[in-house]
Amino acid sequence: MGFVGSYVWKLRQVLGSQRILIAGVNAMILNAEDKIWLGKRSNGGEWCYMGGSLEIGQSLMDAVMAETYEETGLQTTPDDWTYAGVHSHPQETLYTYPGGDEVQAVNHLFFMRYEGTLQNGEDEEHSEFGLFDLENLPSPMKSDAVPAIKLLKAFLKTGKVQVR
Amino acid sequence: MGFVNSDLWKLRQKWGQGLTLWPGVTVIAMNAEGKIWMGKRNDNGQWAIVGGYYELGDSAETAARREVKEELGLEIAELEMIGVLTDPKITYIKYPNGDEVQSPSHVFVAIVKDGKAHQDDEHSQHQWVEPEDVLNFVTPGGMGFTSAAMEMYENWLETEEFQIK
Repeated sequence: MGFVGSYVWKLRQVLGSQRILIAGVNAMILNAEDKIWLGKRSNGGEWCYMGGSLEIGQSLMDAVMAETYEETGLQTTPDDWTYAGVHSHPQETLYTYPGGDEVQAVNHLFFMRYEGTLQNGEDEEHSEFGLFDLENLPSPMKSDAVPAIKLLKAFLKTGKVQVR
Repeated sequence: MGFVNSDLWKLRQKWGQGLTLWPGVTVIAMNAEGKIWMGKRNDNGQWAIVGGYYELGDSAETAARREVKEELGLEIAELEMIGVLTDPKITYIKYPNGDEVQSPSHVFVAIVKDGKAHQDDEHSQHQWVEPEDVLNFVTPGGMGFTSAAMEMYENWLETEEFQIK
């Protein structure tokens, strides 16, 4: 869902901008040549893969499918996704939104292969999308996305679920 | 730490008892003989394996190490994450006091260092249990985390694959 009405939005109504802990999903969509789809976020202008935070009543798989659909219109099924790792390093996953809201995220990395093109879905959260080489990412990247992509690369190389 | 003054407790002071999402860890803590620690919880009177919530500033691993240290009083020799438990039906808890939480949980297997487990103040008793006996301690319809983690552990032993449930 969009931000308004979401679980985190409800928390913000009560807590304000103070640091909160959330469970997040990173939806990493790559083509056969290991290029990754990134979107430039309208709010702040940073590049990132798709994703978001878990809503009440969702499993992580529910969340990754919902976020991907809302951000790109792409419909996926659980079989499309591979679990690639956990990114819980507390400094690396600390993020301050342009409005000042602070989060520490426990992020779960999911990856899938896709050969089509991505564009904005119903949430229209991005000003543009692009396909990027993992070794040549655009700038500015969302700060937690850089170490998460490092984990993805380690997963692609070893096939082992990464824990950080 | 105990619940009071934890970061989830601090959230409760403003948010109240309503359903909140808060990540956690579930740890199958084994001794050198391969027996699994279980404790009888004071909050609901049920037997369960080690589990707890993240604090702000935790990684999955620091949360797992802290919970084992608090509940057993023992350090961890080896620690491996074997899966994530995220099914909202299993990870929903309503405490006897009315607090509601959905807690997606990392599932770990830990081998603890030699020593005698202490009796912490969140449990009335504890016991080292053979893996095949763990489910006999679980209240039917009760602590879903323990049953689900044990099922994941069996599948992990069999397939050596990271488990998602």
